[in-house]
Amino acid sequence: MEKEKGIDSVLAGVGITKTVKVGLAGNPNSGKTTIFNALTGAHQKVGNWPGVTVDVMKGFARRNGYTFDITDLPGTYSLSAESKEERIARDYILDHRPDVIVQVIEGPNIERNLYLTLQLIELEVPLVIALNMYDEVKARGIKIDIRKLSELLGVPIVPTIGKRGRGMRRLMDRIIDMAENPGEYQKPVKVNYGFHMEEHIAGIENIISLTGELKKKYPSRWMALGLIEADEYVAARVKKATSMHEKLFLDVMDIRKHMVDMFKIDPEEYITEQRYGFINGALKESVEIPEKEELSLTEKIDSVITNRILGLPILFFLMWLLFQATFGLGAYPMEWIDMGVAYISSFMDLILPAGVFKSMIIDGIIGGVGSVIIFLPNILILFFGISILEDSGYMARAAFVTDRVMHALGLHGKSFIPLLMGFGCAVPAVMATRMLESRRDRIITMLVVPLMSCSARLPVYILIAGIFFPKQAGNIIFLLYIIGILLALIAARVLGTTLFKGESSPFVMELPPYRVPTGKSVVLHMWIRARLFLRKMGGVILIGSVVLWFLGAFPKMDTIPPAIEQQRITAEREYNQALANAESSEEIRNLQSQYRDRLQQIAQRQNALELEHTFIGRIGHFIEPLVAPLGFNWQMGVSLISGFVAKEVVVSSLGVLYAAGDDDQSDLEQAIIRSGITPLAGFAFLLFTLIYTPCIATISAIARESRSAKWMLLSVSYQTALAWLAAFIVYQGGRLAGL
Amino acid sequence: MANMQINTELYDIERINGMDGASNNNSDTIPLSDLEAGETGIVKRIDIGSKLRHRLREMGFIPGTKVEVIRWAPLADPIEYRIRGYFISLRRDEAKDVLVSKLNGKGKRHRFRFGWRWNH
Repeated sequence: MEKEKGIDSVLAGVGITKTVKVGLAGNPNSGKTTIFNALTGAHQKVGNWPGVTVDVMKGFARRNGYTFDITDLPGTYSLSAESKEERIARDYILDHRPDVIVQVIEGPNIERNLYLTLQLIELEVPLVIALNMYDEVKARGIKIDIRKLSELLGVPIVPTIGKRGRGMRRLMDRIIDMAENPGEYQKPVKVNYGFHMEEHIAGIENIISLTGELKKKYPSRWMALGLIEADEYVAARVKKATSMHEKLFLDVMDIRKHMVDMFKIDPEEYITEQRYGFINGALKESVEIPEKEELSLTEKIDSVITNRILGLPILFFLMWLLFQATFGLGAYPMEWIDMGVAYISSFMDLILPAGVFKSMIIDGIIGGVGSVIIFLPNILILFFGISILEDSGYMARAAFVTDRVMHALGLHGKSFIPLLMGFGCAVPAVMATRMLESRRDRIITMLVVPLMSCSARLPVYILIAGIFFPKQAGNIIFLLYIIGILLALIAARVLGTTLFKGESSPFVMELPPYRVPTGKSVVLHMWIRARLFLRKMGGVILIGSVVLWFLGAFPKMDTIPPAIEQQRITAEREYNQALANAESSEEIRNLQSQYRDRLQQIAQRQNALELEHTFIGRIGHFIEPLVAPLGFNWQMGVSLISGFVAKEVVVSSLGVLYAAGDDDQSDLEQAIIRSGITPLAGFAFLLFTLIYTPCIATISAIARESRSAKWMLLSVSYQTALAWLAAFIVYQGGRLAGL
Repeated sequence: MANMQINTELYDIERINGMDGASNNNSDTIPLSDLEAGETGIVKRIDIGSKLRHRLREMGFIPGTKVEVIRWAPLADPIEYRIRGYFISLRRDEAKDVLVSKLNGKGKRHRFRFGWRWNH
């Protein structure tokens, strides 16, 4: 037994350390995640965006022999179980029974934050309040009498500054106090709902106390209020817990009817009003908010940023800036990485003995991974920018400014953010759809996100556009991005009006104050993205490269094809004959060089035949009829198939394919040009790359987020079909037009 | 989670009874969406038909609460409001279900605003 337990529980057994289960609750933008990080040192994203921490994160902290097992609950404004986040938070509190709940309160916005506090108090959980952003409270001249407020609410309050880790020790001490002796540190405080309502509550509580099992399970006052509020989730829990629910429900219905008929009161409205009334009362006695004459900094910034005339241009400018930084600035470190990879490759070439293993290392692994790792700087810069936009609070403004358009397309302003993130990588973008409250919006957004051209597609664009449109590469790439956006918007509209008829979800969104992003959180965010990318390198892409190399290297031909042998013999015979007839030394030299060229061509043909013999050649030929109408050769077909692994692999597989079909000194671009692909087909190839399913990781993210194979399959099939159709129309149409 | 829709019909009676009588002093109430930037209203009630009744109430849209129109988005929708010391944006469509009485006199913050106002 002892062995199975962790060291902490062993120590706990002898009274040395004790585990305290802590749930971290709070409004979105309350700085809950920064407190979580400050307490646990966990590495996690901080977003100044409502609902960014939908994932329930866990972490550990230690102090004075106590181990804190901390769960970071989703940010919610309330516990009414109206949204997924609220349900998660409430179910955690009800079902996991944490020892202490810490509510993080956004100090400068204390009034609305206290609404959640009252609900937590009614849930009768041991509660400690972290009054966060206390520096801002002071800076704004807000005076909070913490002792008084703590008395009025009956719970301990600790001022904290999450981003600087201030107040954490005191917070932990209060948590320990509360866990050890909740009765001493928390005073029962009740919102008084007025004489009639209290009578009704008491009546319901009476019935509840008759059913012993119910009373044991949940606080009876909380249940009574929930039932009177017609909270379906409370009703469902009550029904599950007791057989007497019918009597209870009938009584509740009577009460509700009574309130409506006699007092013209909507019970839900009444209860909410009373809670806010209580809050106002408590604040009046404990908080002084200065009469403000001046506009706050946030208001000043917003009067420009979300301005009627400037709002959209500023948005576009910021997006443009992000792009320039990502791709312009990123070009320099990319060059260094390129040089580094070349150096490693030549070093390996020197030290490794010739053979299959060397070929796998250099052509498979270094070639494949090397052509992808080069985009690490792009990804770092892009996510650096995105996390600044998020942490500063601009993302909410972006949603505010864009909602009119998004709404017209049947989406939510919040969809803008996943769509924007789609430019970086579809995987986090699909995961970001969680912040959308309605399933309809979520599904539509995650289905169209892959149409936003992700950074992994950029290497393909750069390579292909660089080859076929060297002077116009930038414009062509820009055009692809625009096409992607347009297709996404059309697809959203079509999906919204066909598969999802009906209203889109409400917009109600807080615009949090602007805050200076801390370097720590931005770097953390960037690091998380880089790690994701590098993990993809080490995993999917590494395996993909090796598999591709294998498919392209095996099976080997046993003998030289007779046709090739015959060509060699013929060439040699003709050369010898011509040589015998040659008269001048100049003519001999000419003949020699012609012969060399001819042998080289034959060798290339041999390589091509050998490659066709391999697995990959066979696959390529198998799908050739499918891609031929698009103007693609079989190599391109193969690279597109391998692109299902990850878009970057399209480039690396083209590299492997063409290196095999060519002599080694020439570089990929030359090889592709020589293979006789027209610029039109090149553009069709770019379009196909843009539109079809980005990668396995995205597919699996969609499956995970939609919780259904149906949407995943729809995503893959509609995008691939659309890609084929678009490439077909462009290529065949272009040919008809004489391009 | 499966038996969630149980009993909600029990509660729906009130809907049939018509809650609109709850506050029938709608002599001078106007939809919040009708206020212009810089204007302030006092929340009277939230229309019974609003799907957001509950959410809006919890966010502080309680009768008697002051709501100030901060600005309209560049494309005139959504609209940013200040309520209880924080900022929230609602679509025009959502804001029209919040009925307010207009306060006389415009906020001082008005003069700082850039840009034009609509409907002038």
